[in-house]
Amino acid sequence: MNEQEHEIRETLERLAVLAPDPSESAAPADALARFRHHNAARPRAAGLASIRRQTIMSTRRVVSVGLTLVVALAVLMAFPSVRAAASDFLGLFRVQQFAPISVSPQQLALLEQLGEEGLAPGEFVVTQELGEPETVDSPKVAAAVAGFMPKTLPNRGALIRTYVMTGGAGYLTVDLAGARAIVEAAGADPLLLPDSLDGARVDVTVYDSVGQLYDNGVLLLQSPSPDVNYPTDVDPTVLGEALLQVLGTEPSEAHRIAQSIDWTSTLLLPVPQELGTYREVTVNGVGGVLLEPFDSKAEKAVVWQQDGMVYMMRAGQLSVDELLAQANSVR
Amino acid sequence: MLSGAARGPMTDTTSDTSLLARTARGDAAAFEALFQRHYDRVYGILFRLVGERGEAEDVAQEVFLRLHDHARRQRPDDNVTAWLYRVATNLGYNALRSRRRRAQRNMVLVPSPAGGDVDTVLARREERRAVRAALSRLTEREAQLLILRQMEFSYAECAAIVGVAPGSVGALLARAGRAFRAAYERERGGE
Repeated sequence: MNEQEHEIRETLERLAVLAPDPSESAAPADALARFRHHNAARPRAAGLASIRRQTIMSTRRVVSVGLTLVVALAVLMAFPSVRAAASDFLGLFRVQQFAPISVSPQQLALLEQLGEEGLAPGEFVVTQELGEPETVDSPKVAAAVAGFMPKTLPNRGALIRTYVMTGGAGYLTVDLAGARAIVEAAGADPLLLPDSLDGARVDVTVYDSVGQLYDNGVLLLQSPSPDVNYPTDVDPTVLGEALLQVLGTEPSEAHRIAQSIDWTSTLLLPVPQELGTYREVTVNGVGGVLLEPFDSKAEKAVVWQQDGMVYMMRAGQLSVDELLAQANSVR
Repeated sequence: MLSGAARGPMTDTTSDTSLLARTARGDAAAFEALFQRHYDRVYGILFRLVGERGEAEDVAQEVFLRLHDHARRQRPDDNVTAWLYRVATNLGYNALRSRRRRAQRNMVLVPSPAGGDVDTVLARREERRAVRAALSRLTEREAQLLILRQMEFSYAECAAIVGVAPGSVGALLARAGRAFRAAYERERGGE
């Protein structure tokens, strides 16, 4: 045995003290019984949730994805919690525009795999669960519940359903080691994330939304822009650059794009490459993003932001031109 | 590449990959075989990381729930065994960091051994504290490698779990050992 091996052995012997004592040993039989109990309860719960989700169409998914995006962005827009006095929570992110970015299926699969393997950018605590969609009698009733008067389609077909979904809130406490591990595993530079990020807290609020489904299949969703609170002393451009790299953008390109974006008001909209394309469009005089799936059976959609509200319209059976015409008629 | 038939709990002739594939087809017995094959080691890693029995058991449950879910997504060339222990260490570190953030670390880092001579118990507790404090000064990868190796995972297994080239494990271990010894001496010297 050479000296190096001897030293390693000595170290490992020192570590043996961490092994469980007999009173601390594993109890596989008990653990397996516990596992059976947990696992037996899970499929039923998942099944019910799945059924419930299906009955409300895909509206919850749309809003959930929106929250996920905000949270993903929030992960990289955090701040040092050591100075987490209320006065530090001044940076306020509100969606004013969207920045679509094409993401490869390989990169998405990698990110999904990292999450599955337990890498997490921090702990997200939900303080208020998003509500289930609740059908109401009319847009006027929806306004009373949601606190804003929903816009409608004047040249629409018949409105067959209006519903309100209550918003949600939560906060993320950033775990720098986990966040850096994800950034590194995604092929990006982990040191883009500053040390000051560790333990930072980011508050996210998603407001009530109103959905209106028309008989031509068009669905119009609207909600006040989500809020993300973070302090002013972190350079969001650097964090945005890291996020772009995580989504698979080449470092030099990520740097260029990050410099051109106002990260205090822009929501990244990752579009899976294999699912469809996107292009920028104008809706009611403001910029929006048109999403066109490759699958002809999947619905096209357009998203835009105007006067502090975020809108998403799903096309039903409409063509792109018809969808944009409808979106432009929203009043 | 690791296989479920490497050694220790992996000596069963049915590979982990095959058992997980059967799990995906609804074979509960196959999953329980995997559970029984790996539980001790998964728990062992978690206990060494978090230092507390209840928490190690809780995290171990989460590890196996994830393994169960992973069955449906498994690809034929997946290294299930490495995946399992990688998830265990990731979740163990998540738990540790979560606890640290809650400023409870010092309260639960060292479990209270039941019974035994008081001096021996206290000495062991202090030794565990020092070793754990020294480990916490290493990078997570270094600490992870040392713990895995102490549990007699082979170099190939360590490489697959941590995600490094097998040929680099020796050098990484040597570096981790040096860092540990320096940190440990500082801990003991600071008494």
